[in-house]
Amino acid sequence: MLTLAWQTVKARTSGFIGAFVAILCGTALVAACGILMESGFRGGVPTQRYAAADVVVTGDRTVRPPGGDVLAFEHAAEQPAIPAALATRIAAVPGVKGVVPERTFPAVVVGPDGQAVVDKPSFGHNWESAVLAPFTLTQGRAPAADDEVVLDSGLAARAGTQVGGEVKVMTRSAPVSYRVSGVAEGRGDRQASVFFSSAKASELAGRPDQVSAIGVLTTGDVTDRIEDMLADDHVTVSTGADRSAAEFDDVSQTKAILALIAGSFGGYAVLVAIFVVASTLALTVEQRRREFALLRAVGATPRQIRTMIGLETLVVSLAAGVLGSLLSIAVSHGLRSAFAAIGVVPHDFALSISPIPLLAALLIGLAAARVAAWSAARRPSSIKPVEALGEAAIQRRDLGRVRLTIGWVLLAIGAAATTLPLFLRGQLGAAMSVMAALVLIIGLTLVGPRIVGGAVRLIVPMFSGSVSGYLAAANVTKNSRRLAAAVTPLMLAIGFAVVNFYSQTTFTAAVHQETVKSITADHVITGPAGVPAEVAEAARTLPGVTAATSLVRTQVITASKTGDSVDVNRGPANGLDARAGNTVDLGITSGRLEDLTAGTVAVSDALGKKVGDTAEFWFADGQPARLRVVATYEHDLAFGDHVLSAADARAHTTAGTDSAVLVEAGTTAALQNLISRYPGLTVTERITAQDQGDQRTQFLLNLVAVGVILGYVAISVSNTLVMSTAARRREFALLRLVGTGRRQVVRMMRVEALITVGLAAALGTTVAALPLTLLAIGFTGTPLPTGPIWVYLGVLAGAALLGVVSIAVSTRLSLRAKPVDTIGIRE
Amino acid sequence: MRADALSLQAVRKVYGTGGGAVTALHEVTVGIRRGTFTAVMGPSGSGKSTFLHCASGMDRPTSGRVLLGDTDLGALKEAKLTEVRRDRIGFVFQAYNLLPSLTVLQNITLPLRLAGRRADQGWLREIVSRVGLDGRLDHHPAELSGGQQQRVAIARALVARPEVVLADEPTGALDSRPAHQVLTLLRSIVDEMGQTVLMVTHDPVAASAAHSVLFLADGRLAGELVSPTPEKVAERMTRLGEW
Ligand SMILES: Nc1ncnc2c1ncn2[C@@H]1O[C@H](COP(=O)(O)OP(=O)(O)OP(=O)(O)O)[C@@H](O)[C@H]1O
Ligand SMILES: [Mg+2]
Repeated sequence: MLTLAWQTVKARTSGFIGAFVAILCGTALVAACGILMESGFRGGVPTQRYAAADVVVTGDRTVRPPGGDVLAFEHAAEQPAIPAALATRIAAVPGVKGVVPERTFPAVVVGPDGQAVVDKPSFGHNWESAVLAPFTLTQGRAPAADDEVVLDSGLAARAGTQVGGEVKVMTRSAPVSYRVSGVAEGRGDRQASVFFSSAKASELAGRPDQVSAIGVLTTGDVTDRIEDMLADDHVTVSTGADRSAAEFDDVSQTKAILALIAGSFGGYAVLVAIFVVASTLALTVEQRRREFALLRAVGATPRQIRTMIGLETLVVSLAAGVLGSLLSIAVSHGLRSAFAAIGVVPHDFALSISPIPLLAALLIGLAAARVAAWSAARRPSSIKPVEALGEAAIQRRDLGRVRLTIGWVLLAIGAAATTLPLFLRGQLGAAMSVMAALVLIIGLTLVGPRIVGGAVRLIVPMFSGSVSGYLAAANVTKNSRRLAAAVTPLMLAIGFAVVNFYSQTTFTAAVHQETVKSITADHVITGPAGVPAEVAEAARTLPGVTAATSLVRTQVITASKTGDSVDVNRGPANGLDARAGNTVDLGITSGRLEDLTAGTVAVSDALGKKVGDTAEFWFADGQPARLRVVATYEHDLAFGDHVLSAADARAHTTAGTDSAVLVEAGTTAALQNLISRYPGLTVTERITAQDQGDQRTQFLLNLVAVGVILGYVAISVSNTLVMSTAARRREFALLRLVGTGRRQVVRMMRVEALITVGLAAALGTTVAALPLTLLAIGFTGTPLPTGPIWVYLGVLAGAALLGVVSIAVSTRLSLRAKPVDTIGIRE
Repeated sequence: MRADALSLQAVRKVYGTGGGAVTALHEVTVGIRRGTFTAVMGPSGSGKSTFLHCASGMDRPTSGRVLLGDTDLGALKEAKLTEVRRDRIGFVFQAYNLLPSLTVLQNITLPLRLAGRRADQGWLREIVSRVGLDGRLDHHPAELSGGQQQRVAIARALVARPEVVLADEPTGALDSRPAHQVLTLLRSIVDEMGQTVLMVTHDPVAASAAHSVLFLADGRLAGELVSPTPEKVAERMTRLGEW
């Protein structure tokens, strides 16, 4: 049987190219996602401040609610601090040579032009921690007095200062003058470092009994021992490349994002791959009906046919899978570059490539092909041997009952799910609407031939005018199954692209709309590295100012139990002062914002809590919170589900600064005067919506993901179209022999292509319109989704071009041979 | 052992249902004796192909029985029926008989391979030389003429030493010379190897190669002609109406 399968594959290479390409690209895509995912765990950048530390102990950023499964966790947005007391315990571990606590806090140097030097993140540390890199003094000496600092050499150059000179440093207050006692040379240039004396650093860091990290110098490998000893202390013990995640916030975020994105994107990729491979194989198999019938006539049992199709698929998928896995290395680098261009991944982030994702993708590819072969083989294996004698291979008319039932059920579920955004707010609602669309699309694919058949009967009368139109109309009516095979992937591509894009833009627009409505302050103070907390206090005392508040953009992690599983989510939250007055409009529905003191919280109505209840969640740094609810509000798109007191919000961020200060009344001149003491701060009248950057990133990320998947779908679309057109060579030859002109055949195929593309556009739009309309109604109150129309038109044009060109090119190629030669070709 | 290699008893075949139903065979009863060469003739649409499909087990009659030796084909499940067809019946179509991806030898031994059996080399050599394909075994079907392709199909039909060989217009797509070769071949396997052959044809010349000719008209048996000549067959056909 294997030789038979091998022979067939060898001899009918062209017939298997479609399946080959589909599996090749599918495996490459899935493996690339695997590589990204693995890099989320193992990748990194060269460490800078911790290069000399064998082991680095930092706070664990993973939040794991009790009772959840392995996947129920979230990555905290901020690096949590750890108790300074851990240092003594670590020092007691045998093999530990030295223990160096490190304090980290924002410290921005003011340049000679009076502007803050913020071209890269800039942090202050205690001088002892310099040995972890190590930073070595090239000039001067270590900071001894409270007013002395050591700058890294790059920073000193940019600040235009040298040993013995003065430098202004802004920590969490107005700039203060320090004397430069020395300049140190470290490694790497991702961050700028300012070193203070130990006493000053612990004062500036603000948490005397806590440190940001503990660097450990060891003799021999004692990582496991340290890990064991600290098992219950909620810390992360990092070595090697992992230390860069402990050191750089962006790397830590990237790794979390990569694991997440690659997971969901990979999931999509697997789904789409199975789908594309299945439909391509089904087409390949369908085109070989006569061959299978002949085999049946010669005495092959249905089982043998199935085995043979399975083996052929195995041969093809093995070859394609191996190549695809290798190709994935290039694909993952491409994706990494794309993500770096968007800013999700640091430019210097190195991927970690091991055989695991390649092998896993190969197995997934093989399994997908196996499933696809199984489903494709079910029909042909039951071919009646007499079919071998039939002249033209005409399609079987009926669809499987099971398939139809599943299809209709999926359509019903998908349609029901599209209403979810009416009840579910936030990013979750938007995500649900994409899911709903996906279910609709899959359902539509299953019942596709039915719907296409119905639609065709409606529209073909319009084409019957000319000979070509008449022939095309007859073709699509008689072979609605073949037409459906061409329409389906195109429709899938259109629907998928449109839903993904516009659900995101609609959501962003809704957030923006509500933010504009909800921030009612007259003046807004912002700065590139945040606004020191004291600015809000100072603003309040200015003449004419009736109210002012800190606004701290932060995040919280929440867990919700649904049945047995625990769902963990990271969502936006804000910190506000109780004395915010009329600077914000939360849409309070109960309680008072004036009661929002440290240790209390206001929550959105969506959470279903009442004033006096307790809200449980995790702060941005992963610390657990149990806060009393003092108010409930409506405007959750602008403020998220949780509004904390500004003090609480600041306390759980590394920066410890405000994102903005909102001021009611007062004069611009007075405010300008206030902020002139703080280099970098500006006063404006409006504030941008929260996490505009985050949203944009998310959006671009989606675009890349969707783009890649669409690229894959596009390949398979043209694959399908080319295959099904090329398979009609005999039909074209016959048409020409009976006197149909070459041009007429081309025109006939053009009409068919138009019908194909038109149907795909109509169905794809419909399948996208339903969830998007409901999403728009739920979020913005108007039925029209928000977003530039050109993307929709572009998608349609792209799909149309793809369809028309694929069909036209393969028709022309098929017509090249002389009809008499073609007609003799044995199928 | 029965004298009939193959017998049809009151076989009826109806295509489709309801108003569009076509009765292609009306209660046909006939026996094909072992070691004979029988031709089936009749006007177009008279049910010849249907007759052959039912007789070969490739299609199931609407009612009636088909017996291959002592085996009632109608009583067999699909997989078992396939095995019986593979091991005990050889079939030759009008055209498109061969798998283009396999060589001549591979095409011939395909039924054995499907059965998971090894070819009996002596027998294989005998049939290959009988159909005159020595030296072409490694060729692909596309490299053969139409007549050669039909001879490969006949070799394949013989390879499993079937009880009957059925052929539906095996010469329909051939010119007279290759057609003649194929007919001589079929006759020789009956006369010299004791095969039983049942052949559907349009051509009185082809039919005259058989021992006897069965006539079908409108799905009913319309007589038999023993020791046919082309003229006698043609005359009978003219009486049956247009053909
Ligand atoms: N699959 C089918 N569905 C419906 N009707 C059929 C089918 N196959 C054959 N028929 C009808 O059954 C009748 C007998 O057909 P059959 O093919 O057996 O004729 P035939 O004698 O072989 O004709 P020809 O000499 O043209 O090959 C015809 O009226 C034909 O239209
Ligand atoms: Mg016939």
